[in-house]
Amino acid sequence: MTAPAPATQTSRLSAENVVVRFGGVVACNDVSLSVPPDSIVGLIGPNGAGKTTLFSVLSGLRRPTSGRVYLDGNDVTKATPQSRVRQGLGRTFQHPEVFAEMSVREHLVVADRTREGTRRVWTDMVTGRGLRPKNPGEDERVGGLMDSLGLGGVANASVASLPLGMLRLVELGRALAAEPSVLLLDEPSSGLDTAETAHVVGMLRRTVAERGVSLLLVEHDVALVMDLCEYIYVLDFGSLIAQGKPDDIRRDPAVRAAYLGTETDDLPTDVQTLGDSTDKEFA
Amino acid sequence: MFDYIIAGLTLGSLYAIAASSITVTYVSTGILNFAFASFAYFLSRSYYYLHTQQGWGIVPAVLMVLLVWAPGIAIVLYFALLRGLARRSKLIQIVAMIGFFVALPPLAVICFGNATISLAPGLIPTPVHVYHVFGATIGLDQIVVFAFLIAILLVGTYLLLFTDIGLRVRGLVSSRALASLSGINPEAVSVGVWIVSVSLAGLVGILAAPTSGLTPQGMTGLMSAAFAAVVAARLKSLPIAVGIALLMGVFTDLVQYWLPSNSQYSAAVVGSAPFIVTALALIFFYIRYGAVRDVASGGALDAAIEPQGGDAAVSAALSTHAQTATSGVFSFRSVGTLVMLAVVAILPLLFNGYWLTLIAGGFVYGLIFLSFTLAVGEGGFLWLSLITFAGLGGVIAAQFATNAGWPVLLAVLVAAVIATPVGALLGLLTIRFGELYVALSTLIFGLMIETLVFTRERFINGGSGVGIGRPSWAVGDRTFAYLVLGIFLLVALFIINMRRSTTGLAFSAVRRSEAASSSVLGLNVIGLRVLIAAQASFVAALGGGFLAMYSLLAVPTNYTVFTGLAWLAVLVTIGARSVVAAIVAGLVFTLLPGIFQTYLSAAWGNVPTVLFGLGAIGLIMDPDGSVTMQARNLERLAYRLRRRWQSSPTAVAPVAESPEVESPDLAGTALGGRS
Repeated sequence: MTAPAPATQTSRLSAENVVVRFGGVVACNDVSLSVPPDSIVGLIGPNGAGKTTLFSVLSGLRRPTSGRVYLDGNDVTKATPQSRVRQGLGRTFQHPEVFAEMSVREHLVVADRTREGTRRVWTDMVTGRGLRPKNPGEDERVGGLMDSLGLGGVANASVASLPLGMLRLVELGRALAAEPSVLLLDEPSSGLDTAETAHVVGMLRRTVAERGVSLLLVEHDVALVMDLCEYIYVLDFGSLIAQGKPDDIRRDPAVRAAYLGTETDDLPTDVQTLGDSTDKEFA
Repeated sequence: MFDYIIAGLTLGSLYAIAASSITVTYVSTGILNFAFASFAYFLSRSYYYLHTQQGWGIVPAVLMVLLVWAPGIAIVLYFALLRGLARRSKLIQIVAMIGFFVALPPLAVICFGNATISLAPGLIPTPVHVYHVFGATIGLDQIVVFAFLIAILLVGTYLLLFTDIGLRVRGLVSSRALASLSGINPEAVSVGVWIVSVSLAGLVGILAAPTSGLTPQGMTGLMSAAFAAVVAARLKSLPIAVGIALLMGVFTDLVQYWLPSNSQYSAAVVGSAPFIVTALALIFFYIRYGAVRDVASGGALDAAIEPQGGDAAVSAALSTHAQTATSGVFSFRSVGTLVMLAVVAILPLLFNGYWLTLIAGGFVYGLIFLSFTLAVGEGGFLWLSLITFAGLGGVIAAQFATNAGWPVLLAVLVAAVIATPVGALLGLLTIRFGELYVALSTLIFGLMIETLVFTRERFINGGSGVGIGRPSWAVGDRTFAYLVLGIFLLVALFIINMRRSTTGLAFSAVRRSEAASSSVLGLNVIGLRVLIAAQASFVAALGGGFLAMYSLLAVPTNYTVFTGLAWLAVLVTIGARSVVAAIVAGLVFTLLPGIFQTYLSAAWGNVPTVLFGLGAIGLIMDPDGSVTMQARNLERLAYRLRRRWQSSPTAVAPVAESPEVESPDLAGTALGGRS
């Protein structure tokens, strides 16, 4: 059923045979996946499939029970989250993890500064940089990124006052300001309306095209995943049940069974041939 | 040995009643009763007043206190203050309860007089009748304590499990929001729980007073053990709280059986027992769960409607400009800060004698208060033992300066450096825990140092403390005031620079989301937390050294945890996140009592402390503190005037400015704004 993941040497990010157990529950069961350079890869599955757990393993917030994680060919299984960030990994969260005391601009500024190395976090307090005039280069980089995301109008507003759609863009901007080589996006369209989703999709395409960032996204909106991703992995009850190009996934009987909760052989023909228009509904 | 076990069970029963009351109140109302000791003191003092001073019999006096006064106090406080507290963040809740802790003891003195109480009456007339069981001696007073514990547990269990009232309470514990939607009146349940809680505090106070002493310090020591049991019970398990409390009581007395009564180790082990239990519990939680947060009850709906921004800082960011690190150097706030500091700097030139001395003292306290600004404002954690680090700074500096003959400023600096790793270690121990755990464990740590270290003869010196001089060129109050002000400005500048730099942004990020800080920004969360803890400890110890220099004496009793809570109360009243507020709070702390002493009678001497406590309680209504609130009002006014000017036909094109954002839901969650 599951083909082997592409070789780690050609991948920006890959997971090999990852297992995560919580007591007697297996949240991820021997999962392998790969994110090639300059690509958008999707990770889908019903609620409770283990997608967010796998994201936590990939970003280093959770240690796998067994298995390996590689970033640009380097084994980062035991590396801390901050070490992975320094090696080019970025992420967003299903529920936006923003810093409520900060403005939109500050979210991007802190990411921009730590991109150059976290040394400034320790040295700034004794070098008096906080009392000096602003850095024009920093302003230019951050300002440009905010404009490209459409956040220029709320640059100095506190994130606590922003709607969900804006928060997702702030998270995206913060991740991009750190200039990652691989970006993990956890449900980037969740809670967004059609126009906001279209804006995010456009932004993601531009990110890959202009910045050369590889994306791995978890998403419940199957139509969006089919439209955006070049390759898709499907998880169900912690196991990888399918992988392939969008058309292959759309036709895969195991995927349909996972989403509809029955074997496809038992389903009427019209259900088995669900098209794009209904993909979103059963998601 | 059996005698010791009986005595230990008696003490443990008092701990257990207190711990069970605190636990039930917390899980039912969401508020941890930090003021339990002060309620106990206030009500046991009321009992002493009625029984001993007014000649009432034991039964009418105790009934009056526990069935009339205690419920009355609970009802009034609930509808006046505690009701609003449930909607505030954890930090505001803690600080407001500390306000009660600070205000109630001096209020008792104002109400009932300041008579010296050598022997407090219990519930049993003296001489206490004694029984002999299996060779052991049991006093009737001990039997009464056991009986109360058993009765409370039986009645409480029956009420909770088998009655309609218990069903309502349990519904409220599971989900306050869903209970409300099911027709349960949360306020009726909450007020009932508070009545029980305050009455039990009174009972514990009356039962404990004959042995622990009828003093705020005696009650606070008792509460230290009760809080340790509550921490071990993860703030929610009644059986564990009661079990640990009983074990601690037995352990305390068995230590005295095993070790010689005059052994210095006996006092050391007994004094450190609550902290050892707390530390072991935290380490166990860390290994077992990784981290323990404060949420004790409630479901998803409660979490969704709970006030966000659990730490200090949110309203400052929301109410006006969120800019700090990225704003210009000469902002409205920085100019306001400079003006305020300039006014403060002139004060020593305007006054002489008594008032000059008080101003110098105000500067010293301002320096110490900057440690709170760092811990609460930047770190986002509420340490209740910063005064302990100030004390360490003071007593260690005195040893170096007086006994070793070091230059006094070097002695103060070295003492602060010595205290710093202790603070870093404490920060490391509490790094993965919620605000309540941090507050409780630091409170217990402070009480342990008070018992173990500050009572050493080397430091206490027969009660008179160790003398410490000032630098030869700063002996006079005016020069000394400017020396302290100079140090204050250096530390303040350090804080302002840090806040505006990448370091400050990193602290803000870690405060709000550890996951995003580490996995998006690549920040070392543990390192940053330990760094801010070390900085706060250093500044507290530095200030403590200057406080010793100010009074020319390092007396450990000047650095009690109780006094530290009064410091915290006065600081948060003014504003906990502003360096200007720190020095204003310092001046208020010395000048206000000075004004009362100079212009009013001695009877008014306790009023300032009551006012400080009320100020902290006032955060329920205004979480920002007074200086910050006024600064923000001025800033808003300036912003509006500027906008009006920009929109006038003659004005040039408006400059882009941050929008003024208001959020009533979140505005009440901070301890103060920045400046």
